[in-house]
Amino acid sequence: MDDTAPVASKTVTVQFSGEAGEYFRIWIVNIALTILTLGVYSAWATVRKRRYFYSHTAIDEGSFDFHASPKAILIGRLIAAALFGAYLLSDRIHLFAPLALLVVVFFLVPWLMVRSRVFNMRNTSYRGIRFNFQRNYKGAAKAFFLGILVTVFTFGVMTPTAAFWRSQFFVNNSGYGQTLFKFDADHNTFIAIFWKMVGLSLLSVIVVAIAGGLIAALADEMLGDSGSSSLFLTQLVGYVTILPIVLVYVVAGVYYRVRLYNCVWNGTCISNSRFISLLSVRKMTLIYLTNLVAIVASFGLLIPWAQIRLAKYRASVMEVVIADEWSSFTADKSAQGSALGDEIGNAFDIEVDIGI
Amino acid sequence: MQTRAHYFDGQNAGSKQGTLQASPAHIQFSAEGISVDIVPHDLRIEAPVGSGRWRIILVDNASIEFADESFGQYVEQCAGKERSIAGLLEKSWRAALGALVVAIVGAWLLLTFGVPIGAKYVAFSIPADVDQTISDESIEIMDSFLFATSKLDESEQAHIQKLFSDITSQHADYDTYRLEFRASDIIGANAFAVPGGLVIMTDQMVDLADSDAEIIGVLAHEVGHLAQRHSLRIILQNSSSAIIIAGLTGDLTNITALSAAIPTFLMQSKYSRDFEREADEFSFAYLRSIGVDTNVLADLLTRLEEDQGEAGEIPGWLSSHPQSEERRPSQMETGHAE
Repeated sequence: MDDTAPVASKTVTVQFSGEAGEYFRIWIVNIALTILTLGVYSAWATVRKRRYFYSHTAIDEGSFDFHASPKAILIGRLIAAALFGAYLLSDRIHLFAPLALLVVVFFLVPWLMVRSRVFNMRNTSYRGIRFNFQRNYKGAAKAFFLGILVTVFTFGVMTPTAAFWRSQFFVNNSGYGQTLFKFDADHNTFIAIFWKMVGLSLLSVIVVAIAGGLIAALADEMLGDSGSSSLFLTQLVGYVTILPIVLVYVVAGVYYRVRLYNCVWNGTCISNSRFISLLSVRKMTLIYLTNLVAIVASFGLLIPWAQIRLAKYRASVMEVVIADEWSSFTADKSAQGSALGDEIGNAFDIEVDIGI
Repeated sequence: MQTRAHYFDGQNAGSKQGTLQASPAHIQFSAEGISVDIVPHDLRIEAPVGSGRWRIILVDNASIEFADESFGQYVEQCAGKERSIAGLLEKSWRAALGALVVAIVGAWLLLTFGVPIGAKYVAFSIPADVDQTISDESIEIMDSFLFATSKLDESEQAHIQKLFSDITSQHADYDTYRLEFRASDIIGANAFAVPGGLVIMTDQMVDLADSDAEIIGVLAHEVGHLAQRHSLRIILQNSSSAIIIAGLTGDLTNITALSAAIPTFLMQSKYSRDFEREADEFSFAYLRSIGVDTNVLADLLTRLEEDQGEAGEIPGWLSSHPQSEERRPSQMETGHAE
């Protein structure tokens, strides 16, 4: 509602109150019941997990909640599983049948994207009001297909523009009750983030390669040119350089996603209020890498701890500048329930750029 | 009993703070300018997952939220509502420990027995002739990229064809199986089964074999893959185990998702080794039935490794095939006894 007058603004930090121990119990009970019911409980598990994370996330003393019916999620998953089974066995009919199916699914992506969003938004509430998503298929097709086309035809040069279009589409079609979110991020920021990522990773790879070459030359000098040792040397340099290159790749990926995430949230507003996200690339890289080590070393038992830790950090650097009366956000009465299409869309759960 | 609570009218996001009072006969919320009365019997209450906010659901999407756990339990009692089983289990560390044991044993049973048994059942309930098209089409593609025409002379081909038809004459189901020869510099000495009933043997493999017995051993191994419908079963097992592991580890994002790839890869390698052993057993059974030493298969495989310079340095649990030296019947028996 654009006509509401701004009120004295206040800035609040998002509070996340989930605890690793408590969530571990929910997580392991979810897994045990899912196994005992041969997967049927997985839909109930998803709802409990979401409810835990949503209800432990609060802004200005109001918390979120998730209301999806587990049965609806189960139906969506059964349909998705049937389609996947058909895909697996379709090559027995014709070798190219799986490819044909993939093409069909590819053209359905905008539809699936919208339906999945509708399902998740309409089943999420904050302060007793549901979120909303507009069934804008035309916009979805434009954001998705046009984005892919320009990316392919410019050999990747327009990747950030495609990401910008998708974010713009998702934010502008999202709503809280009757009030729509608005996307006012700068297109140039997206472009700058992308090229900085490309430049930094190229530079790092070159530095690593030169360093590797130098080490090899130096060691060669010292050891002389006996055949076996030079083979050993090549392998050694290979091992020494591959690790930093993998690290560069990981850091570049985290850099791109984190900066984009911040940029999308900082460019999102609703009525007179807006969001501030200050994720740090350094901290996110550290959290991801230590989480990975912790999960592998604990044979997966630290997965709940890792997830809580990530959610805590993300909330701690997210602020909301509230410049509206809560009562100015009104519920959308027309958006009730969920259609079968929403459930199928949800089962495919298309990840978007801001999913980090 | 009473507690602090927030009232949301469901029409807009504004809230009213007030007091919630409960007795076995009556539940009442009161705040400035509002009073809500509820008969405990008609109460719709949602317990939080973990410690969190309780929610009383009223008509017209209105709701009352409060955080006091003991108050929530008291109201539930007044209304005669019971906590869900999952909710109760999630509260106790002892239940969590039990769940952990169930999860480990259950996942192990599911992946090592459930998936293979299910895949076998599904594979054998699909008629074999549906594999025919995939076999024709895939050999066409391989011919244009990988293979050249065989340079073996006709009498040698005919001789090996005879060995092959002796194997397939064991059972009426194997009647449709065919053997074809190809030459390939890219893949070298090799033999493999194409789903649909086709066995391909390269000229290099024929050259490498020292005796008919070794060729019979390899051919029978490939017929074993076909007869047991391994190609279909491995697709079913790999995809279902990947889905199960992904489902159990939950939605890991980004680089942490790599950690789910480790168990998936190990499991799929194990499935592959199991099928190789099953095909070996098939081959051994045939070799025994015609009175040939069952060590011929391992002899040929060992020579193949030496030929390709693979020292077999991959640890057994990582490999898609059993170690060649393990593939002697005598070794396999001690393996079982351990």
